[in-house]
Amino acid sequence: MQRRQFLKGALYGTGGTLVALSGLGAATTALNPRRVAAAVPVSRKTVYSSCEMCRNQCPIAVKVENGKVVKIDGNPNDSAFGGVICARGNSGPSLLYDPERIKKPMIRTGERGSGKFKEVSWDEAYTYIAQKLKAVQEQYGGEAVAQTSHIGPYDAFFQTIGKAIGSPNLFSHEATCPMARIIGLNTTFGTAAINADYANTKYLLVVGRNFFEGIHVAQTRAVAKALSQGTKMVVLDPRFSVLAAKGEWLPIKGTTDLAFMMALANVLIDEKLYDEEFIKQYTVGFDKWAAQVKDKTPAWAAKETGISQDTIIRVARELAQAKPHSLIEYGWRTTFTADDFQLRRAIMIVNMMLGNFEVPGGYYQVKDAGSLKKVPAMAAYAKKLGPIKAPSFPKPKKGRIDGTGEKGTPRQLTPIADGAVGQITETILTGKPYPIKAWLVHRFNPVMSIGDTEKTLAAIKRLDLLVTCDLYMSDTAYYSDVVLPECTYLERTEQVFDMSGLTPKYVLRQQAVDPVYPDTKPAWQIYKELGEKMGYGQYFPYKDIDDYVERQLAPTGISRKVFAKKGLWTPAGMKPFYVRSSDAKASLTLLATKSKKIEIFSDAVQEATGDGVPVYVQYPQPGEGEFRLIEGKVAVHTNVGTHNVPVLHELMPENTLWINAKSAAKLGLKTGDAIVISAGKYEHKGTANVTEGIRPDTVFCYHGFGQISPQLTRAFGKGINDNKLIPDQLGLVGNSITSMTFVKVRKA
Amino acid sequence: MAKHYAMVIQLKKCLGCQACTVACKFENKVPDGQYRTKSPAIGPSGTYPHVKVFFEKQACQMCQDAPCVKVCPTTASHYNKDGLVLIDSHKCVGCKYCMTACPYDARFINKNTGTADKCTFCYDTRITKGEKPGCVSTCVGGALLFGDANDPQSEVARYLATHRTEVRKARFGTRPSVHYDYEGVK
Amino acid sequence: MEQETAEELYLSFAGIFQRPRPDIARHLEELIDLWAQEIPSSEKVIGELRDFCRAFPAGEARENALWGEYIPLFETGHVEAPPYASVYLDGEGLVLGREAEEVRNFYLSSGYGLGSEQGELPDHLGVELEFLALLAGTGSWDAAQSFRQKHLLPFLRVILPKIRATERPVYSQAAELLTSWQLGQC
Ligand code: SF4
Ligand code: SF4
Ligand code: SF4
Ligand code: SF4
Repeated sequence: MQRRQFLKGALYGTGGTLVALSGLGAATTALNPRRVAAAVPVSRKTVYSSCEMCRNQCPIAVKVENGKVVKIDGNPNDSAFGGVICARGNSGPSLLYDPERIKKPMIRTGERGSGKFKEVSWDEAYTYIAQKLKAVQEQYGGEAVAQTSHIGPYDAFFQTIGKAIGSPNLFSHEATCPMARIIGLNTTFGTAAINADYANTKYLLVVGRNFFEGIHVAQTRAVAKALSQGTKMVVLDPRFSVLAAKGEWLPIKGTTDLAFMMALANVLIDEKLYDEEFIKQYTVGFDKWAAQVKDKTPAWAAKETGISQDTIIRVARELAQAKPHSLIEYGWRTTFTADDFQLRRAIMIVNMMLGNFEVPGGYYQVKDAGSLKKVPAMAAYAKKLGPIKAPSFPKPKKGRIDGTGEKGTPRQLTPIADGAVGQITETILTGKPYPIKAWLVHRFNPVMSIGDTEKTLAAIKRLDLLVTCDLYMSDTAYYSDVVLPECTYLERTEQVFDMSGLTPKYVLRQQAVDPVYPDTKPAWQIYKELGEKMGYGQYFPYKDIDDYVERQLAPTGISRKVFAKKGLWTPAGMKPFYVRSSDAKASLTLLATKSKKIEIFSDAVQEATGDGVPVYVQYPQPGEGEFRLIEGKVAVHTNVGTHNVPVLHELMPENTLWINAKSAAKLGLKTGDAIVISAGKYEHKGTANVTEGIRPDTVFCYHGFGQISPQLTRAFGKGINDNKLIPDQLGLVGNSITSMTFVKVRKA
Repeated sequence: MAKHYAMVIQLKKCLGCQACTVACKFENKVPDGQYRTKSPAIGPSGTYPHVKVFFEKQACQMCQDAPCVKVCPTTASHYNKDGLVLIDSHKCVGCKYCMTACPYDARFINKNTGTADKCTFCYDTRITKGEKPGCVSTCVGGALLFGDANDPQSEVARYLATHRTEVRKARFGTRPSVHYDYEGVK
Repeated sequence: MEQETAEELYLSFAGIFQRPRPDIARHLEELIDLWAQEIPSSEKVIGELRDFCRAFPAGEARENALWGEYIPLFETGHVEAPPYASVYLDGEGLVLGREAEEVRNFYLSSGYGLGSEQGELPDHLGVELEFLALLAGTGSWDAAQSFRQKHLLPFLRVILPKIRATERPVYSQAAELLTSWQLGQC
């Protein structure tokens, strides 16, 4: 009897999952089918939103039936996308309804890495985090708290925590990906908001980027469109990528791209093929660059790059012939070498020699509200989003651990919002320049992505607190003290994103369905609630995300209904706008540099590194029996984030090591052979893929495989974790270096 | 005039990105581990550094002389009023005759329904609503064209009139409605 | 079986297969008594359960031990036996499929809805068992039978062998007992 009392009390009381519906009640046993039908009407709707299977945020149209997402299409209202989304975008429902997602906040109960957790309420999780952070703050100062995220809308909320604590150590993942390009652009144009008009270009030289496997729907489509209109494409890549298959493949020696660029400049000057007028009117410092490339002849570059002198000369002439509608692509992941940002500057300098700025088929400054305001004829189209006013944050007591922002050093060029994320583990392990004791991670997986997996794991062991917020039990979540479940992009609304290009454009991510797992929450709510728990409520001065959006839209006069109806806003009647399309001498009032010129010679770079124009640095090449390890993306996965999504895992569960047929023959390897890849300190098992599509001195694998969290059932341990083999090595501006690892390969 | 739905696949433009593969799965509720379409790599061929590879989207070819229809003992596999080969799952007994007869390996037994399944050109869910099939409308490379080949104004009709295209395994005389343009890849 | 016993048994298994809770953990011994008394079972299974209770006396240690098993078994990441019927019965391996919808409708038709407090999906093993307890408690035998046949048994047939195979303390033994009670085998 007593037992029964307990059971009933436990389950029928507050603990029960099922509740009697009012009017029917538990005592009613009669079935009433009509009442049921009324309770579950069939409903269909389409919600316009924005994809987040990768960070590109493509506009989507989510078909919802009876509260369930049944299909995701591209948003047909955006012409740059044409209703298209990629394989990952299409697989959204597979993520949304995956039983392996994290469903409740969890706190670790066993050793770090034992995988033992218990579930707790949000309040318990917040209290735990708040107490631990307070303790770290009191003992070591606010700067002992580091924060890293991939980069995205959540940062507006996530980073508020660190800023309120007074930590300078906020990092994005950019240093492991596009940061060198950002710096290259910042130091040349005064802004990184420079886009390329791929669709209208007549000649495209691509340096290592792979539009057809690292898919960015709008850009991939633009390149595809150009190709279908007869644009010639040349691809520099040690590996035969899908992009290379659609153009002329030049298998360049790794880390010598700068030599190729300098030789192009050399030919353009030597043969007087460059746009002198453009250079004179819009740039500064060309003479210094000319001096720098004077001896960088095609013959010299041929030796460096392994691409013949004739080919280099031909490419230079072809680029010149098509100018200004020719362009050299500035790269996506720009972590080839220690001074990668100088390669990006050199690429942009040669582009400027083609005079391809602010013309169709060239580069242009993004026409967002800020830049349009500076162009009188267009200022009417500029509708700036309203600010979210909050009190100013306390000033951090110490400088950043990675030296970001320090004058007179290369790190003065590093964007403060990004920093050198690869520095964190080093600092945790050495305590230099001062200790880092707590690490908050949002939707980012440092264990798999900042170089040297083992080092990251060792660093994690030294922490007082590691908190990870994610969708899955990622490798980093697995080693965390607290794991917070975010809901997916289909289950949340976010602030308005600026996705301007040739015209201004705002896109809104709009919640399509209620959270599948009701205890998952959106980032804005998680960090607002945590902030409030910590006494930082004043930094989150909005009621909820709808209030936030209202405040953003208020000064623009754009109605929220526009987003409900179309998913995006662009100014009615505005045509794609290039400043110089009709007048080659039009003044570039929108330029963001102080000199109002494009800075071929950059004072800032001179001050930071002593090299105001790019200078060639020769890096070592693999010796006998060694290979350069390079890595890249595949169209069906995003970084290390999607390998456990059921459909995508099904399409590509594992990676292999590409090795040139001749090199493989020397090692006695066939496709499918089990191999061991050795980078000296670490080794990794893998499978050989013997191919003609790679340089004999290079091996390649797709990134993000071989995950080490045993709780990623599908992806766990499948394939090669390149991140284990790549050291945590930082370049001048703090970029991770990912193309300078040499490995040996042997049969397992 | 009667309709003749057709698809053109421009292999030069296909990236092998599998957006079509995934779109099809959700559009048609294809069970996990099964596919109505896929775009496998053909190659690479050649020797370094002169290498080639292309991708070939594969699915039901919508034959106008369909062996699968001929062998179906229950008339579950049939031509519908617009000439498409479709399967009436109520009539299908899962005998697999059609699977053996299909020269393109386009069919499978859907593990949820236990009946034969294959590409339908998204007839019920999209075409009859005036939309393009799921794969066509999400094609990242812009490689897929779809429409009524009997309408001379349609994109496919115009394309077919002005380009050299092939059908797969023409020797079987199945008269497919899916046309492949190998220009630039072979 | 008496109404009261059936209700108790359903409740006891609902308690075990829902997320670990302090009160259930505290009263685990009583549940074991109930099972030993009502379900023909091997001494081994009951013995193993009692061993667990001895190894982890009631309190935080026991709760954490249960979490340590529950999370990898049912909840997050390496989910050995997702506790949602849709995952198995809809062929997609995903939650909130048709089965979940049907189960939810069944609850509605019997006058029950899902409380917002616990935030659970309708086809969670523990919820289905709780629902049967409610039906048993109110003597709704017809409804109970029909729910069992249509929903619970097909689900138990796939999930219980999975749970048993993990050999995780408490859960695999509870699965064994539930098998013996509901599926009539040991
Ligand atoms: S590129 Fe693909 S995954 Fe990324 S946002 Fe666009 S559709 Fe989504
Ligand atoms: S491709 Fe195969 S399944 Fe499709 S119509 Fe032809 S024979 Fe039938
Ligand atoms: S037409 Fe429809 S059914 Fe056929 S492959 Fe394309 S999406 Fe799949
Ligand atoms: S979506 Fe288009 S480009 Fe991508 S694989 Fe399919 S057919 Fe090819």
